[in-house]
Amino acid sequence: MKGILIIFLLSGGLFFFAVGTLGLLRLPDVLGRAHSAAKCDTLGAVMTLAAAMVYSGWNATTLKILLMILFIWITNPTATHLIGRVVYLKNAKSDNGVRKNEDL
Amino acid sequence: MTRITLTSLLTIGFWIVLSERLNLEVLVAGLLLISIMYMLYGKQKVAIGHEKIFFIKSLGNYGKYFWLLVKEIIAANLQVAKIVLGPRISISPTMITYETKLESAFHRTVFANSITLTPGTLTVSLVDNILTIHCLKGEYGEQIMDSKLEKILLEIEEYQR
Repeated sequence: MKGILIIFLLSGGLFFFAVGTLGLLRLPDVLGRAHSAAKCDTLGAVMTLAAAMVYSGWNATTLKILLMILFIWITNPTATHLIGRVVYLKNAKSDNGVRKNEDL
Repeated sequence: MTRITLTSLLTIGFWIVLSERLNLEVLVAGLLLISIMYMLYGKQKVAIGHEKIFFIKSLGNYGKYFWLLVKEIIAANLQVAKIVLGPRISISPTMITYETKLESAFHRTVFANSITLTPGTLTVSLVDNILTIHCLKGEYGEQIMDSKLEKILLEIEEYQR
């Protein structure tokens, strides 16, 4: 029973990581790529860590992994926000004719 | 509950989890380290700021908020997976601005981070109470307009008045 749960969580995590990587390659611009890279990470990493939690059972390791999930959920959106903000500010500049960067 | 007790409870809990056991040596070492840390960082507002956030009443609401957030993350992740895995990528990126009614800086940050956590939407800038949000599809923006997450946070702010 425990094994089935672990397999389910791990394959779910793997699926979302794969989707994130594929999106990173397929989506057209920086912001779209930031979407896919950051978002599928949230669920992918959490499901993988949850599998590790189930595997280790009730002990201090589980609590530590729970803390890791918490910190990932706090830091991940902050980092994504920073990337998005830089792109946004750069684009805002280019609209005023100060700078043009088509590659973005 | 004052800020100093809250901070020390959180940090001692964190220390006990990290040290994996609970005896006198661990506790003494932890308290020593925490007092040093508090002397170094106590003057900066590291914890939560001046607002009294932890009321017993709003704890239930925070739990509800977290549960709803997890549900939205899973649903939205599946939507993004559908977009990415589709034979042709059909997206229409749009920028929308949204005025939030939340007043405390903490809740605004929580709300902006939740928007970033739910796939398909990305908070690009947060100035005062105006959020600029980048959406992979226009319809995701409309979902934010009537999201339940902000309503729960508004309820929490009601209690604190």
